[in-house]
Amino acid sequence: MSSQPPKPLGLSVRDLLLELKRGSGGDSAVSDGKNYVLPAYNDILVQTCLDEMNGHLQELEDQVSTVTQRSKEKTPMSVRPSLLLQNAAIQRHKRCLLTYHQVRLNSIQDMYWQQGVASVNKAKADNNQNENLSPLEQEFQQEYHKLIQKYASSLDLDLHSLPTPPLPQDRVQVRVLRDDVFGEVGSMIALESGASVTFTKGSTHFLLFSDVEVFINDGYLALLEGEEQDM
Amino acid sequence: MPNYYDVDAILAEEELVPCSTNFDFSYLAHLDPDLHGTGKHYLPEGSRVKLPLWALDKWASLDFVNIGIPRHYQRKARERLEAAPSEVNLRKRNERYFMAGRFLVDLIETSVQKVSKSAASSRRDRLEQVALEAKKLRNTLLKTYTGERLRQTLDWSLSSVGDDVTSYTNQLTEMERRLFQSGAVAATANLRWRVHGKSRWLIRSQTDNNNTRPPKNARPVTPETEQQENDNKRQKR
Repeated sequence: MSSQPPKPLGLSVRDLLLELKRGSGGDSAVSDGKNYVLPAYNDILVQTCLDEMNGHLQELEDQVSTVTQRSKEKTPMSVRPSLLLQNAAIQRHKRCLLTYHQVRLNSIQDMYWQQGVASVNKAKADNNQNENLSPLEQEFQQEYHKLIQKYASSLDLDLHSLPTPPLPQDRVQVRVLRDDVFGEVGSMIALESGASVTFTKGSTHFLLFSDVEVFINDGYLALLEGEEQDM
Repeated sequence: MPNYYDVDAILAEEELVPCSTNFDFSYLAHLDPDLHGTGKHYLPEGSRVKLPLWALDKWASLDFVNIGIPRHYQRKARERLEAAPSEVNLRKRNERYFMAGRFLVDLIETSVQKVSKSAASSRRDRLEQVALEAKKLRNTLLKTYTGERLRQTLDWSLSSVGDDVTSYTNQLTEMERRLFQSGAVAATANLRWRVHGKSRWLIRSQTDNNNTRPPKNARPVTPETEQQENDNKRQKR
């Protein structure tokens, strides 16, 4: 039929999936949701796979039409393997493409639940995650966020605050990551409980958790683990 | 049946299997590299080609090809594996050795079952031979996976928190690596809990990001806690 050099079957789709596995920065399994960094949405490769699949489809159609033209009753044995092979290739491409997208969507959802609303807001803010997501995936993220919000508001419950068990002590140590969001740099901030602090970048404070919880969720302060340091 | 969306299963099915055609295959001359100069457009009977597992599935059950066993799973390789299971670098042969082996054996056994109902007796003998090899392969795979390698994996994963174990994990196949990781995650969580108590659990998205891979990143990297853990380590000794 065609005189193309023998490209191994299913090479492009395999590369797609290999990219997914490599994306987690090493060799952790794809199912390991915590460390996972999505590689950029490889539009070119996806397009190549689709083209390959269409190529197989075309060949299949050609071969079938050649056979039916001869108008015999049964397809001769010698053409059957080729038909089956093209079919298998098409199924394979379909499976790989679907899996690629499925894994990406799952990891978007996982990221959302882990990092909370911050991930979606951060994404809007510094465009960090967005570079790795295709435009449709970004839309998915926004819509998912809205969906969860709608559900949470109908339940009247903040779904993101549930996993954190109550603290053994009510004060925590925090370190300031960003000081530009609190108003003028170096100004005193009044917290809910009435205390006032000055947040400068890199400084640590020992404060009531209820006061700083919002800032931690937004990513402006970092929670320091461990017990209190006698410094 | 494996999960449709399981990436590892999909990649494991890429394993190339040698097989020989039972009759002429039209249109498929491009599969056999030897036929390139001859201008033929079909695969003659008896030509040996290598195809991935997913392509062979239908052919095997319809008796279009005779399936052979890839070199890594043949008798010699198997014997070497059985002799020294923990020394063999399975990842070099195939990153998903066990999964691919399992699919291969399943394929052979189902195809032999289907075909031997209608095959001639001479063919049936040959098929049975292949089936026997397949069964032995399955046994070997089982023994290797659950024997010494498993023991070592458990041992290393649970006891080497904070050490660089990449020299060991580089030898493991994907399935073993997953086991190793769950063991390592459990071990580091245990260690964290012993050292820092309950207050740790607050930090959900921050430390956990650092803790799923035992080598080098076994502990979160904030400076105070490192100092604290060094103090603890010194105290333990």
